[in-house]
Amino acid sequence: MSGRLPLPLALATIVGISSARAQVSYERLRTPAREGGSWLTYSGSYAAHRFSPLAQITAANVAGLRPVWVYQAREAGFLQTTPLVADGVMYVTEARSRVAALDLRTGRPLWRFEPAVPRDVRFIGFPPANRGVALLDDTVYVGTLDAHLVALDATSGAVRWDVTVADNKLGYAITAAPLAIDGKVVIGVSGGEAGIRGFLDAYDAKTGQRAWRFHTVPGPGEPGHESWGGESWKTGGGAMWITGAFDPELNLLYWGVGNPAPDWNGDSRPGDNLYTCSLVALDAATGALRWHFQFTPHDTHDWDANQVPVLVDATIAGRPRKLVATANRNGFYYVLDRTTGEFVSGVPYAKQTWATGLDNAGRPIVIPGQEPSEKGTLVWPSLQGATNWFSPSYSPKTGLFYVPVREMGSYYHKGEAEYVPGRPFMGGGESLRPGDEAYGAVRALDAVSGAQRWEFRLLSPLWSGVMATAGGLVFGGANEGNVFALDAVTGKPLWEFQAGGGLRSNPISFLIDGKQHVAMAARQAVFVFALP
Amino acid sequence: MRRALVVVACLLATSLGAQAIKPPRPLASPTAADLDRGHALFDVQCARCHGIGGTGGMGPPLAGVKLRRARDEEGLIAVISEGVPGTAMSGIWQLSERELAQVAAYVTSLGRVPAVALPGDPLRGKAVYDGKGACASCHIVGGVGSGGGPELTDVGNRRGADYLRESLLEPGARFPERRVPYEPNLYPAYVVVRAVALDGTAIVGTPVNEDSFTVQVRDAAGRLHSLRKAGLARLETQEATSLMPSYRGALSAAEVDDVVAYLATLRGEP
Repeated sequence: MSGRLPLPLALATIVGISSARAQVSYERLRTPAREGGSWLTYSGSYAAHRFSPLAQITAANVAGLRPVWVYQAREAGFLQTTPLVADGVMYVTEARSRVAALDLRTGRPLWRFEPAVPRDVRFIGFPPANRGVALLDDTVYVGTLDAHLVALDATSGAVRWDVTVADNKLGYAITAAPLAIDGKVVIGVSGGEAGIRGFLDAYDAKTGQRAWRFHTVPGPGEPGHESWGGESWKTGGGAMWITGAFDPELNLLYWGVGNPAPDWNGDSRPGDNLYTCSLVALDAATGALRWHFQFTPHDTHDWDANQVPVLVDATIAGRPRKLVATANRNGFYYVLDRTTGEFVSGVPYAKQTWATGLDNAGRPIVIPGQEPSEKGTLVWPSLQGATNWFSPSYSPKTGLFYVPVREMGSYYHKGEAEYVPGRPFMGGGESLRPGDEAYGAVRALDAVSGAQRWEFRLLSPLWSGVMATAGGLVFGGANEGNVFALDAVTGKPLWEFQAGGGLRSNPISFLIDGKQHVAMAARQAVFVFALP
Repeated sequence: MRRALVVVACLLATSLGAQAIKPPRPLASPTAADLDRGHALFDVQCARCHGIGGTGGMGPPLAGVKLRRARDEEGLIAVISEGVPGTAMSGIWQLSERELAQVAAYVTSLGRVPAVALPGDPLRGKAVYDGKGACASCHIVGGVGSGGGPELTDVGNRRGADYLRESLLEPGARFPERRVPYEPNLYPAYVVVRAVALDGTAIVGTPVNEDSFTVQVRDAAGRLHSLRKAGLARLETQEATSLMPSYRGALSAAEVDDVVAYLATLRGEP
């Protein structure tokens, strides 16, 4: 470019896209189609599509994608963050619940928040990762490893309020990104390997006062309590450690519930163990349970339902349906009616050896003898499931549901489990199968039928999410450090970059100065890519 | 020497993660029941590498030896629960705290078992290693030799005698599960692959590393080939083969005993 810029454009270039104050209103959060240049919430939209409407980067030009800046996290440990992008700022979380606000053009830090997480903080059964913040109005919300929810001023990082969500000494922790809705911040807890009693909370966004709490394990007198033998409900697990979805029209939150505790020894908890390993639909105003669907009754394989539920609108048999779709850790892909919870369809999307299928109501028809044993029981999928916490993606353009897959089996062991507050309460585990030809894959499923359209194979079972774009691409990352782009229709690999560290994160896309960028964290650094 | 039999290393080391809580204390005075339970758990969780009774195998022997990485039982519990980075030893996170202490008590009891005497003579074995065997053309001991094959400086700490013997006689016998183990338990596997380019030219060697899009192969001459998989027609793992020749027939049975005895003395100390 040569010559002098007209003054307004020159100013725009200097001032750029930064507004004086970030104001991520609820209206902006509700209208992701108008916010394609931002990434305002964990899954990109309340419908949790992790889909970018940006289409500058396409199958034709993606081969030219290059890194434009890299942010090196200050805190040691893998980044599992989904960065948020609003008004010229990127918000990244690091291990031990650190938050960094970065200048979007350069990656230079603007402010940093380091919560006073105690040295002896308990995180039982998972690394000290954090998966991201939530934005609402001029505030940034982060859950901390010691189970606090903290509200930060978006301009300075100053603490507006800090509430204790649960007692970390009992094993409660927060690793999930909160979800900000109209006037409320919704957050779930980790701790399923410590025998917590899980819950989802909503807090008043301005004051931090708790609005409601939904217990995933019903107490005495509540429906579902009868699905727990003896006193087992008190230590029943059911963590909610991955951000859910929200339908503003139905005013329902959709959230996956974790495994029952102890994980691999179910002797002390006879029954279906509601609402563990379920998807729950909660009234966003009150937290009241509208419906539930349990994928794995009385789970003994740690197949929690902490996967992102994806809201899909489609026509089935001539009838428009509001659906929620999820690829569950247990190896099945489910489609449910999101108004009623009615089972619509379910098919395996990965190798599984524990069920012959699903019955008409969607309940698994379990093959006997697949429970963990002292010597080990070989079952597919492995303990980490056919997929896990990292995000799937749905493209309204292709109608495909893209799921990162872990093709792997393992020997499940049953051991003893004694509940000691704030200590591991697991009752076994897995050992890996010698000779295992485990591998990873990104699979594209017809979102309604679950039929597989294509697969792109990867060297090892994945730990990273995917993002589809309107440019006809699916971005993802591999354990060996590759960030890659696939053709959304065919699965053909079109671009790859070796980031020098394994990926355990989710991709996003946004605009800088009107130009499309893609970001994804590899090991301890956030990489931002653009065309030359 | 030989390639390592690769156990699919446990990604749980990162996914379940190191717990920020202290490992349990050793049992003050383990009962017979504790030792029995520790024994049963050892057979399921540990014996695949360390051998039934801790006699060693692809993993180091634990019977009759002073443990190198664990000064005491507390240290032993730490090794069992956290694993050893850069080796096939991944942390055994799936035991309860009591079970962990019971396994440690059993392993400690193995230390009191007298070590099995090896039939060969280490000094004669060293002479074979340096002379007729020409082992140093592919292996390094104490800084001397060539680095195409696995370093053997402390192989006596890493492998049992039966495994060493099998390596000399049938280097391709134990087939590794993966060409390159998963991170973080990344270590050389010495598998043999054949990479065939689209134009039909082939390279045979060991994959030093690999990802979904590329592979780095070192051939028998020590040359490194950095290959993009998109440029390959095939990447085949050559089962039951090794770049190392078998010494069956090349060495007498007594010489094999001697080399095994020599290798077993290599403890990484001058």
